[in-house]
Amino acid sequence: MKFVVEELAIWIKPEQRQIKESNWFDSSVLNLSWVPAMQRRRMTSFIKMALFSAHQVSTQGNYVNLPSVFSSRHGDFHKTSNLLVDVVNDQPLSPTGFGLSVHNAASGLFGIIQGNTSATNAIAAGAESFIYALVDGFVRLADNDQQHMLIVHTDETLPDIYAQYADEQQIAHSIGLIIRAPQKGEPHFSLNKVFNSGVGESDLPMSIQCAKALHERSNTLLVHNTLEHDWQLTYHA
Amino acid sequence: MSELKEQIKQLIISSLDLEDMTTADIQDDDALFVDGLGLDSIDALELGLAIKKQFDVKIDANSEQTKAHFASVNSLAKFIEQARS
Repeated sequence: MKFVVEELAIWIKPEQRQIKESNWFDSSVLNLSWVPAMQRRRMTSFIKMALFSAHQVSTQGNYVNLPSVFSSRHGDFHKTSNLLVDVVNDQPLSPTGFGLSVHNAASGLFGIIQGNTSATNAIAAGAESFIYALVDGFVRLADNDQQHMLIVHTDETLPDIYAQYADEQQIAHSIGLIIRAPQKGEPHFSLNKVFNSGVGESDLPMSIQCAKALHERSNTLLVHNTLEHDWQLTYHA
Repeated sequence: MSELKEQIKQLIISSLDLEDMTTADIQDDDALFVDGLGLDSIDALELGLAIKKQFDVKIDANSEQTKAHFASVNSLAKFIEQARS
């Protein structure tokens, strides 16, 4: 699968010191001043991250009514986890918490606030969630004759009670990008599933490996502890 | 009664995440929904739940009266007083 990245924004929570300060990501304070205060008040840090990235890339250029894919491995898990604790304790559930704990909450809020009426998908695909957001975006570019696709990937650190199940570094981060199909002879990326690469493992989330490689336009093998296969990202200059 | 109204205002602010507001910003007879404070239907559900929890009163979700009870801090205070006595 081949695609061109027109816009790319990578945000990593400032406290994540395991990633060294560098110029390939942003850790500034999340600015959501474009969201009306009455809507902003209900947003968790997960939703704020997602909307921040979506807004950063979609307000560049002259994009109108972008179709989108929002992906996350765990979604707004802190919110879900709190609801589950209430269920266990036989407490009534917060209607707001319940309404915003669904996997497409961030994508829905983005659509409402921006007045965006295009189709949007919400994807969770384990350690490969970001990869499959790219796959979905690519398929829709090819299939629906879309000009551009907005892709937003966001993950929070796991809530404490789930931390024992972590199989990768816990890094709160969000990635926004806009992709389109390449024109003939134009520099582009390709992404392919590969087997038996024999290359070592990584406990860095695949989304961050991939975003860094997209930023650096490098040829990178994206690997994960839990997967038998890898993904080869190649830049064709 | 005024103590109860203060409690209600605090509950409105905390349960609905109205971070930038203080109880002094809410008048006893302000309309809570749509015009006035600008709260919406999800806020109504959330506030209903919070009132039920804190004051241990029963709220009938489908009654027209409930709508009237939730009009303002004044009417909420009156409703909670009656329900508790």
